[in-house]
Amino acid sequence: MTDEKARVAVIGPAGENLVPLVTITIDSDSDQTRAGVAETVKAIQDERAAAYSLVVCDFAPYEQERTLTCLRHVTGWDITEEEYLAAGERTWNHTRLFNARKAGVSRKDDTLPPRMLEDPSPCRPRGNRRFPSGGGSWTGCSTSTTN
Amino acid sequence: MFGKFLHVDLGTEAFGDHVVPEEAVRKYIGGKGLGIYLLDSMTAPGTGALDQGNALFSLTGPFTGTIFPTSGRFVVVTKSPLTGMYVDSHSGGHFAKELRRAGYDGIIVTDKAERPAFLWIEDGRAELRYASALSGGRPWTRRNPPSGR
Repeated sequence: MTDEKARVAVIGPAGENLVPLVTITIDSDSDQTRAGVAETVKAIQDERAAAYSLVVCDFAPYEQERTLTCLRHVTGWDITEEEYLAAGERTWNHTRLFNARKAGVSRKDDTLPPRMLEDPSPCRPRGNRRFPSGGGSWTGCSTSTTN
Repeated sequence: MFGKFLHVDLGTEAFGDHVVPEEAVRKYIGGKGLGIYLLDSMTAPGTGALDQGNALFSLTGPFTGTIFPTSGRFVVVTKSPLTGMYVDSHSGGHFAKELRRAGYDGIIVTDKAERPAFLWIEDGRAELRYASALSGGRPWTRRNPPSGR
């Protein structure tokens, strides 16, 4: 790419099709996002919650179908991939219900800590800018990028 | 069949097996999922993290104790004293494998002990042992507790 001002944010079709393990790629100074990120985060959260229910290491990239083959052998279940991922989604939903009903958590708590919203970032990639609360655009001055 | 928990009530010092219905195990698998299922089913609204009504869960998963890679882990679940919300924390080591080999897929601890105690589990048998000799020390100096009461 020859234009130094050009910035890149990439999420492949996998993310928008809820493939469980995908990567959101941004360049070093990008503040762009696009549709599909929320769905991707949800898919990753559901898959990880299911893996945390198997209680295996977070950092080992298992091939899911082989993992499920092992799970079928260990348990005797005929569990499908959809059922496995639904267990992860169920875990998230149940946790959220618990926090709402028994811990007093409500929609007003669906935000980031004040420091992340109020303190300008001191360094790249978001240098001297603050995270937009309420869906606005980035505030503060844009810093020059040096590689 | 996965889902056999050791339930220890520290108030009455009673022990019992708590078997999670297979339907629930299939829906939540184990570990984190069964953690929120059990925490929600065993705590009432308004229960503070340090209240007697809170419960502490140690949970393994269906792979724990098998040769499945990195399966030698367990997760602790409770209501957090910091946030009041659900919390879990995962750990490795030998405990999870040994717990399953002793016959349990997890531990449920309810109520409060009158004095410091630790839980001794061996081949399906469990007992509370008083831990006055351990009390007050720092965790890393207490990894090899004395076997006597």
